[in-house]
Amino acid sequence: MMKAGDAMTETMTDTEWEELLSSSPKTAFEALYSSFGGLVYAIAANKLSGVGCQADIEDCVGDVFAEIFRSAGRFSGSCGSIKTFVSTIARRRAIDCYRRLTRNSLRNESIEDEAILPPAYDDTEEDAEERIMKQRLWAAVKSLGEPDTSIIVYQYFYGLSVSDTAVKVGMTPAAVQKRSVRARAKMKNILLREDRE
Amino acid sequence: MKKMNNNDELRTRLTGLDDSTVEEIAERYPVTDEETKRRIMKRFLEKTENVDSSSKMQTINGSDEDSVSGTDRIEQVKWRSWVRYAGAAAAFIIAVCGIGGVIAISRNDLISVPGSESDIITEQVQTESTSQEPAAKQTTIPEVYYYPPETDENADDSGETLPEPGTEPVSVSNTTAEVTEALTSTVTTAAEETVTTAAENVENELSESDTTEPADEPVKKEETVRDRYDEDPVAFLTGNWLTKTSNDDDSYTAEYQIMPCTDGTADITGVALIRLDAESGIGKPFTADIDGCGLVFRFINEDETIKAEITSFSISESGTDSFELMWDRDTGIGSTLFERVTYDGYYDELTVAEE
Repeated sequence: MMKAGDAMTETMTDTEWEELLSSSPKTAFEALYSSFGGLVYAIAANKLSGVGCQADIEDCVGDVFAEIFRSAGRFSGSCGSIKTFVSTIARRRAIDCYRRLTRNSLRNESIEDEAILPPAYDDTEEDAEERIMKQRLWAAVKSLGEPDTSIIVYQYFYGLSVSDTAVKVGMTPAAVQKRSVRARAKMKNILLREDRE
Repeated sequence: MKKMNNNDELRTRLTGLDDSTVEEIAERYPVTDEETKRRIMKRFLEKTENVDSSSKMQTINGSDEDSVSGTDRIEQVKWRSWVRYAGAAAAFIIAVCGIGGVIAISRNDLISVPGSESDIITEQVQTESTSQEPAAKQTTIPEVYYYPPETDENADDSGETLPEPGTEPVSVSNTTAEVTEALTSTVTTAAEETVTTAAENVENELSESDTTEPADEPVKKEETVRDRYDEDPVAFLTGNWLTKTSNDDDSYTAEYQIMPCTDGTADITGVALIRLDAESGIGKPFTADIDGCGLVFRFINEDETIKAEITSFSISESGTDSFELMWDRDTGIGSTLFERVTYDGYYDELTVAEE
């Protein structure tokens, strides 16, 4: 019997995953979380961090694992890896949560029709610019160096509070706050310098 | 190129990253501490336990609500729209048929106006005498001779006539003694059965118009009440005023105990207590749950005498308004106290004991 959360999950074959997913919910969760907890959380945060709080992200992650467990019958090692299977469900569930969280605001702003309509050709350029901007931003975050990169990621990607971020990076909240301010100023300078160049 | 303005924008910009970046972040900066894991596992177990108990939300197509894609949702919404259209069309057709039926029935009534009610009774009695069926199967007679309650009360008091709106009054003066007998006898003649059925309309103001009990069984009011309670439990609510307390603003707080009435007695298991006070305000809803029926009450202004009224506007999913409770907030309980129940379109007033 496979023990949940052990190192074996790192090297499990897809067939073994199929067997594991058909086991008890708790055992399957332990194994799934130890292997893909970080990935699923990051996928959820990547979609929800700007619109929801940490509880929303955690709810979404819980839903993802529940759906993975329920959809175990649909998973087959011959059709793709377990990582792809998990990632696909995580992205789809994150989109559902995003829609649910933004539904009210869309209604209030009366732009629901606009949101449903397919993007116009004019938006393509903006989307491309947005993608380039995000790549530059991530490059700037990585160039900060540790622990500033970690602070920015935990604060602005995962949406953690200063105190939670302080626990993650092993610093005091005050120190995290100071470093965060400096890191953001540094990022601004990096981006402005790139713009001038 | 867009510029970054504030922290919120940074938070927004640092989301929606591409998949490879997300995987890189997940590997280098994981958020998988024990506390987070515990919360997520709790959520996971809640969801999977719901699955195990087969309580998953099902969509119209029968698929799992949680696993349908966006495209599927759009299809389901379309399908629901068609269902609505079809329902509206069906309702329209039914309404047209209903109107046509009413017109047809009205024409038949006009044609039969020259004949008196006594003739109709005689014809039915003869028909049923030859068929020798139990009198209770003459279920058409109550429909023919059902009178509005106000008229019935008068008829009951006089015990002689049953005025028919727009037609000749029906005389039942020679049947008074037979009525009592028919209520308890198990074998009746055709004439007695007819009279009994007509008399039930007179005496049982609260009884239903579509009695289906066999006439060879004793006609008991308790059974009728039970049947009606099973059909429409809300219509058989009763209540008691319990206490009243004077408030600082010269108004009163009253407590009204609502309970379903079965077999002529109050069933104590279904009691709900409603507290009425000045702070509740006009229009503020009150909720009471009685035997699974969620009743919602609210204050409304009616006139100067009745300062506040509590009336139901939502009863479970039936959407039936059938319970009214009037209460004079300024004078306290016991001033204008009555409840009305609605049944088959007729209003029956029941006096509630005053304190």
